[in-house]
Amino acid sequence: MRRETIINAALAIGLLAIPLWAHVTGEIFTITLATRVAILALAAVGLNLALGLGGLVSFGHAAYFGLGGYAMGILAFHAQTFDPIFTWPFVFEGTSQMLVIWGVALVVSGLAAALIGMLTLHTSGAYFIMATLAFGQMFYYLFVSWPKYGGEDGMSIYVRNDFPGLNTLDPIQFFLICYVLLMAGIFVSWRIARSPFGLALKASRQNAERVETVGITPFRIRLAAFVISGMITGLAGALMADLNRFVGPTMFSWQTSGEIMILVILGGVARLYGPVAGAALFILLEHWLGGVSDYWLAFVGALLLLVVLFARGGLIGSLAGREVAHD
Amino acid sequence: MTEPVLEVRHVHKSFGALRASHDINLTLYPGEIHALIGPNGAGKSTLIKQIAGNMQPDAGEIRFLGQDVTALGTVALARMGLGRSFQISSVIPEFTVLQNVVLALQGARGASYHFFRAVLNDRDMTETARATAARVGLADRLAVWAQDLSHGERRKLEIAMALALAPRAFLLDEPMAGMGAEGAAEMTRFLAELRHEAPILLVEHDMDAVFSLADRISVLDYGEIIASGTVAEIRANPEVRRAYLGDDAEAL
Repeated sequence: MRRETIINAALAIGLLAIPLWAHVTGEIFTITLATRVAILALAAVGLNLALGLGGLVSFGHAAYFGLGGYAMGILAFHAQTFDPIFTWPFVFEGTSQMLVIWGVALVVSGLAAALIGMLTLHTSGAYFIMATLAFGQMFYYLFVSWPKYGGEDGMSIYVRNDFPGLNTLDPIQFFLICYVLLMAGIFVSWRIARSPFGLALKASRQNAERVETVGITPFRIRLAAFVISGMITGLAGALMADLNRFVGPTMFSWQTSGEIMILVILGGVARLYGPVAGAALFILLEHWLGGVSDYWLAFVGALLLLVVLFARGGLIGSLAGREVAHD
Repeated sequence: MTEPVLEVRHVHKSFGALRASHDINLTLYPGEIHALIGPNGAGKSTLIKQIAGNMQPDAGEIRFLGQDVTALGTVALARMGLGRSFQISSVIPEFTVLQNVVLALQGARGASYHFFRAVLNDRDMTETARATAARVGLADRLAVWAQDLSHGERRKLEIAMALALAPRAFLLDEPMAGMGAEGAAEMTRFLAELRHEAPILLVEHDMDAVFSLADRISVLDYGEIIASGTVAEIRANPEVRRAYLGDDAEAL
């Protein structure tokens, strides 16, 4: 077995075993930490598809994370107040069903990614980074100035949404929901990475001109990848909103975009379990160093610098070494 | 007489005051190698870009397979069957040889929008890719990263990627560039056979190769075709000797 496969399995099992053990010993806080790891990892799995496979350095993935969050917030808010979200062309009621919320989060963030992708994917390099950042900020200011949904203060949703057959307020049950979705996200990106589409996407990152001369349009390939990427991050946003039972415009802030990107880079760009490793490391540092100093993010910054300078494969790359050729 | 596969009609292209292409006429018939030669800066690259769909001519028409393709881009031309290699080797560096050829195959077949199928499990695709790589002599290099190939091998891989398109015409930009004498001779033998599969428009600096391969030669100088004909006609043409071959005239 390849060393990376073993590391991936260890991460998958560890992320499941630790909260289960914490459940047995009654350490609720640990379960919550693991839930945050799973959700942030899922958001980063989304970005990793665009950034890792496609080389699309999106600095605006907070847009999808926030849209997913507000999809939950707005649907749940209307479910609490019993007034429909809109009545034309059809009546659209709020809901507290997670399955519906996830569907809406996926659709809304996918549409946003399609629109933003169409407008930005013709640019590259710094321009692409700036353009995606600008769209993220547009959403941020839109929701800051939308008083109906809490404006700057955001909104609290007092009851966690429902999932058929589960008690979502039980931390371990909610964790398991997030964990399963994370694994589904990883499965999807694993299949995509080795599919014909993934091949074209990776090729477009490395040599777009060559890709054109074999009859493939890199723009369309990138757009499709960007949409899938945004949808996965959007789903993570909906879960994060449910974990916190709160949505606020900071979900849209560029710091959020940066944080998701840091997770990908820390864990290992384009590595299947890079987002999981990155999110786990980030949350652990936040937990440990946050107790030591208020300036814990400075340590994260230093670590990020070390990774970028000396360990381009991130945590996974340092442990597993270079990818090996295969046929 | 048979129809040309590729035809360039009265193509003009200028960059400001610089005439890069002036009234270019060029044909490529089935089964032939038509070599395009000329000194550096003669406008070969500009012409190639216009034919390949990277650049639009200011005036004139380019026809491929009896169809006006002047306005078409690279992707559409590739899908129609224009197999191209680049002056500077252009492959996907972090792919294996096999992956590079598979990419070209799936491009030709329009099979890139499958999200959930493992591409290298597709037997038909990989077997065809293996066979294509074997044709250019890369059969035992399939699992090597393209970036780890030697220069000559990378040139071969490029040809394999063009071959994978099952092209109706080849547009090869200096396929011998940077190859040693032995490699160039090997490539020459290969191209000599390849013309029967699809005609080749060959841009090449290696005069030995050009004279041994070409059925016809067109000479480009200052954006104009100053001569066009068989090898013997070009060798005998005084204008060509003066304009292009210059100091190398004795090489003829």
